[in-house]
Amino acid sequence: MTSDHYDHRRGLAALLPARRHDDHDDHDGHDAGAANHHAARPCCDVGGRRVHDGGMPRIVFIGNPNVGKSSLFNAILGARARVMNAPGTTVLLEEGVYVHDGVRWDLIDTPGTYSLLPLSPDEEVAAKAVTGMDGDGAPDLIVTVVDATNISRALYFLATVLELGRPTVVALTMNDLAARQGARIEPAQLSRALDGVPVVEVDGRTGAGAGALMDAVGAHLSGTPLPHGLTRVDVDDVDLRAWVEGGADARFDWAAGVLARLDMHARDRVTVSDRIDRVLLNPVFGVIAFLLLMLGVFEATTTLAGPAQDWIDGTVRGWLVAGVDRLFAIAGPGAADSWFHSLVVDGLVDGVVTIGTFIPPMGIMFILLSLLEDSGYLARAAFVMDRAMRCMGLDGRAFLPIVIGFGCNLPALAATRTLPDSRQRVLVGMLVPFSSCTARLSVYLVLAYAFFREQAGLVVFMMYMCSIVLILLVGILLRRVRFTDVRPEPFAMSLPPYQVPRIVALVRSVLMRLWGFVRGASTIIISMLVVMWLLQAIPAGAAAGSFAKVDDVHDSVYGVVADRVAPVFAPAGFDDWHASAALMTGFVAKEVVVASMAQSYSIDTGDEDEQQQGEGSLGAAMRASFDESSGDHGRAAAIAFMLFTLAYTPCLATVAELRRQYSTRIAMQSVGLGLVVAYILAVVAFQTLRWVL
Amino acid sequence: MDTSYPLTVENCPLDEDMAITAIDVDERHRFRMLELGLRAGTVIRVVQRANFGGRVVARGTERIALDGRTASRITVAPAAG
Ligand SMILES: Nc1nc2c(ncn2[C@@H]2O[C@H](COP(=O)(O)OP(=O)(O)O)[C@@H](O)[C@H]2O)c(=O)[nH]1
Ligand SMILES: [Mg+2]
Repeated sequence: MTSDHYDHRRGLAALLPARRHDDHDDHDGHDAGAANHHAARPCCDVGGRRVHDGGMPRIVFIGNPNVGKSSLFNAILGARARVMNAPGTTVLLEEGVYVHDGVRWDLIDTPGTYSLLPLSPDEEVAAKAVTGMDGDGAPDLIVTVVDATNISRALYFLATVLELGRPTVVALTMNDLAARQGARIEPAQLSRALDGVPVVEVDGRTGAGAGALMDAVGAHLSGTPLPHGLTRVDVDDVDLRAWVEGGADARFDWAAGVLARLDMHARDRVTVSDRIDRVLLNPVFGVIAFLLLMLGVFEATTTLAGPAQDWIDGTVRGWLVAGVDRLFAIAGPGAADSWFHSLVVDGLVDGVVTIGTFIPPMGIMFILLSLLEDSGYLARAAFVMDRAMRCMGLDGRAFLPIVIGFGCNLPALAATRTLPDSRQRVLVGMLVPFSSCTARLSVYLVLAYAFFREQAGLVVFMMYMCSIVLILLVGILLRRVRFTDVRPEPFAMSLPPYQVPRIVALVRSVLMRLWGFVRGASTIIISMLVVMWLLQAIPAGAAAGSFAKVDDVHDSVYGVVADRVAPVFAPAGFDDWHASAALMTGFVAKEVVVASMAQSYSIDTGDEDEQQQGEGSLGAAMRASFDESSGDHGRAAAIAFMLFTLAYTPCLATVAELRRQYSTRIAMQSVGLGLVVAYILAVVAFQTLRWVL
Repeated sequence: MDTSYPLTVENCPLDEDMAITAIDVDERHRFRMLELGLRAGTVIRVVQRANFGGRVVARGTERIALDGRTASRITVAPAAG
């Protein structure tokens, strides 16, 4: 427990020094005193440590938001960068081992921050990492990423970092944009103005300068000068708040001095970005443009991805099954009849295909997100939607994931990555499963046609309304009980200039993200499908057949479980094993709920569409069993079933992604929340509606 | 300026140099504004009006977006020269 005591000290308190009596070097620690910090670290800090072992120098990257820090970090580390949560938080950190001249360095990318006095958990993580209060000791070198187009703010921040007295190297980004605005900064000149602090010009999108930056890091691990006009501070002995606030004026004076030496005078003029913003931030057109763009993204992740998904689900599945069959044929006659063949086809191949079908929408989402981010529009979207989302206590950028969720929850989760505040990210991640995705639509349609015929359209529409209301209500609930510290803050954000995205950097980042998704989600998806297969393969009783040869699902362990679960739904009107079996399958994917129903009634629906299924024999079978289980209030039970389907859990892939992006705990909480909400909703709906339907 | 309303980032004219006279938000956020480069004495220009009183202010090549409430709490005066 001791190892994470920092995490229980929220907000500013967490930053006020907890006195550590290790060997703090009081002299001007620019010499190689750094390594001692590791050696003398108290043992209880070990729990909070990450990949690095003992004496590997730690290089921490820090900077304002949107300065190009992550691009630079990824250009340096490539696929070796690992995204993870800072210990005990959901704040994302990137880390990786870099080998320079045979020496291994531990590189750490922190969330962007304007200050070392944090206003959010993300900024707190950044501040702790750079001051060494994260339990890892002070970093051996700090790379401060400085945006040339926001130089005066960056210099102020740099001053704070320099005062920490650690070896510091400046990575100067965005100089190409600054040049376009006639305000290019010469790195050598800036270095002179900083009294010799090394400055390296880089461009994270092309990787230019990354090698030179790492060489500069290697050359200055032993120390860099502290510029005149700045006073070194000892974070262990000073009140952080007093230091940051008290020194602000001096830092601004110093920054003004540096700017003067750079011979920079603010060049005020109307830029291309300003002209674009006249339209995109316009009170009226801005909102229209935003909504059109959202519609475009939504269409792309659903309509555009659809054919590719169908192709993978049909053709690719066919190839895989044929390939498996051929392999089994080689193994000998009868092999294709074995349980192992069934496991491979119904378990493994199904898992691979399931993951495959998510690649098109995820890939498209990743591409669009990169385009939105890299063009500079996403920052504007936050601003345009600020007021509308603020009334729900959410960031303007939360609009995107929730809208995308109505197409497919999975890419919607990917879109939560654009929220810089980790609390917002998790909150929205937990709301996304309540967005009614198109897979759920197939369930509504069949039931609506089966039970409501003429009013089917209205019923489906009402389900969507319920989804929206649920998101609002669950959002309020979560903010009351779990995210109590999420409250609207004054909106003040730097807007980056618009720019044309770079294709190479884009393809690289999209491929890396896709790979991360496949690697992270595949284990859980495949293992769950194997479990499902096992349940259906094990016969329940002697008469039911042999292992993997159960003809009627009801006779398998799966059927028995469905039977056992069914009575739970008596208050909701569908105490029926067909329904509970379908809902269990729905844990994997909502697309298969209807197919599972048909299978359990032994009805071959062929290639009927949803309306035909609902009005045909499947609908009739469902009406019969729902009428029976609900005491002739089948329509009320059908509504309850639809509401349950809406809320009870997202599909398995989404759960896997929740786990990958946040944590196992949050994935479980999300599923638990969904189940509870769905059950309450279904019971309340049935108990009220049975008086009228 | 002899108006009954104080001149603020929200209601001041577009594209004219203005000097910030005061920022009336809570302590924590006032300091954050300062760290963003907005503090008493800073010369800015309002370059864009967005919805619900939101404003974009320019300071050299930097652009900072502010929501309406915050914008109305930053008082300004025409910058000399
Ligand atoms: N023009 C230009 N754009 C850059 C440069 N470095 C990064 N970018 C872009 O700036 C945006 C923000 O970069 P990112 O790495 O996400 O910034 P972070 O928030 O500091 O991690 C991205 O769209 C990058 O493609 C650069 O040196 N020049
Ligand atoms: Mg970043």
